[in-house]
Amino acid sequence: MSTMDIRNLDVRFGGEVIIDGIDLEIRDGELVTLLGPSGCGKSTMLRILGGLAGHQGGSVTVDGLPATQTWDRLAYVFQAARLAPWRTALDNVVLGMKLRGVEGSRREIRERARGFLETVGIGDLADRSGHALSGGEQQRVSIARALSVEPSVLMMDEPFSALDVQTRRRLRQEIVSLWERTALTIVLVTHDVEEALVVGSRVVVCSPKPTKVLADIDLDMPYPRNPATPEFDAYRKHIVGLFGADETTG
Amino acid sequence: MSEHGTSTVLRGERSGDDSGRTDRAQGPDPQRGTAGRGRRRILARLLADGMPLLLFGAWFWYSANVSAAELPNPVDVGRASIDLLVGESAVHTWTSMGRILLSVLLAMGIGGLLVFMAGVLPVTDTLIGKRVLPFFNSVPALGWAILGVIWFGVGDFAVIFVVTAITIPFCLVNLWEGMRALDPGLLEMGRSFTRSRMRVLLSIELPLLVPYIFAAARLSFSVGWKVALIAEFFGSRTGLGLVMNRARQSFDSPTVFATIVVVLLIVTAVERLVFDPLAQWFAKRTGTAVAR
Repeated sequence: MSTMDIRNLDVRFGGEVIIDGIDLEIRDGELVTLLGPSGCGKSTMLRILGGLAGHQGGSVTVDGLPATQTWDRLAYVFQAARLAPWRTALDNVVLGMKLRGVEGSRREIRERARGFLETVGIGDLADRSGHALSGGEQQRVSIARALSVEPSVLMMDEPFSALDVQTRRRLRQEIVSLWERTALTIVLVTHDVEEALVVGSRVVVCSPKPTKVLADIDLDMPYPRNPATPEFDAYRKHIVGLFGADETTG
Repeated sequence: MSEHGTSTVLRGERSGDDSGRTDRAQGPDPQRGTAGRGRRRILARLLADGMPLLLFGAWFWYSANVSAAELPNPVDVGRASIDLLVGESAVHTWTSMGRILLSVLLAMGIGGLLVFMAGVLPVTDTLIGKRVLPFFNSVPALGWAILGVIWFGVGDFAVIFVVTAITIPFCLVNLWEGMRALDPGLLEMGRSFTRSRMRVLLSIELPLLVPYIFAAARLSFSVGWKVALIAEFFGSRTGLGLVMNRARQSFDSPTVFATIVVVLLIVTAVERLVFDPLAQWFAKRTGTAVAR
């Protein structure tokens, strides 16, 4: 159960300002999409939330504790699946659990890992070597690996952008239904307006560097969402408009 | 300039993408067709196997015309080689082998420790990379051999010291390269799951380093044979180096030749029977190419 709170976050690399005084609260059970152009500070923000990257100013807390102490309530899914290529799908999930220090006998851990592979629909590929899986299958393993440590927040950094269109669509739907079935809080970073609108219960629109929050929208649309509806289109136009305005002023 | 450069592990694309793999069997010019490719393969085979046979024949013929001290007869060399491998003198060969294996292990341990130190304590990075490595890289083998005898007297220890000192840079360079080539994405993944440096080291870094450790062992083993004989020549009462020295003093050319033949056979056999299959196993296991 987690509430993530970002206050006045300031990030610089060298002399460049990456994130310029952002405030953001992520409430328990939300599926927040952080939407912004490539190269803005949204992925950095995701890493700061898990203590994987540092920041210069402001505070980041999870349930009132500094983010550097709460890393074990989070699990990450990255843009590339980042599997250990010498391990099988199952052993990659086991690796995540072992790294996190999940308690249990070898057999228990393997059984649970198998269960998580089934959750993401690839129970039958458990013994396939990491490098012999397709891109979509690899990303499923990486999602199973993240779920296996039973995080309260799932952090996803452009998780579908390296996949082909069909796989991407299917996985988006599956993440939504996973979120609907569980109490998981999900933060998903994307640069794709449609993805943000199909997946998110809430969209946080970020500007190009130095990153600020342009808009914070609670999406009032039932799942599964159809991009062809006028409602969806209105949201899309609104968001695209925000970027247009930003470009002309910037 | 360093000859260690050739030992760097060549790794293929790490992605699971099948298109990244190239078909080795295919020649550079696919338009030539199967017939041309087949002819070229036969020619390559003829050259590779025919040339040594031809030279062997020439050796046979020439040795009949000169004194045995200048060029011994292949049959005598063969007899002496068999003696060195399984006969009375075999104890020298296996003594050398034991020393080399021990030295390689020691060099790997010391090299690994130095690289690990540079990784854990970044302040030592320059010391190890820019001072220790060039030092080991440039001290001549003969220098170590003579120092070994001066410091430790004639015996096992002197030989092991010399071979270890000479193979350390080969291990150091390979493991160093391996550390630098560690996939930052996998390391970040590891860090996102744990803050235990030890768990990341054991479960992610070490397996990623295996091909480099393997390349270091492979190179050190063959270099070890080259230098062990020099070390034994000066600093030992056993071993193939001593055999060589004694043969030199008594103008026993067949034994000098046989010593070379035995080292050649052992290094080749270990390459073919141990390192090649292991390399293939790694490549298959990880879907990546490992230097052969």
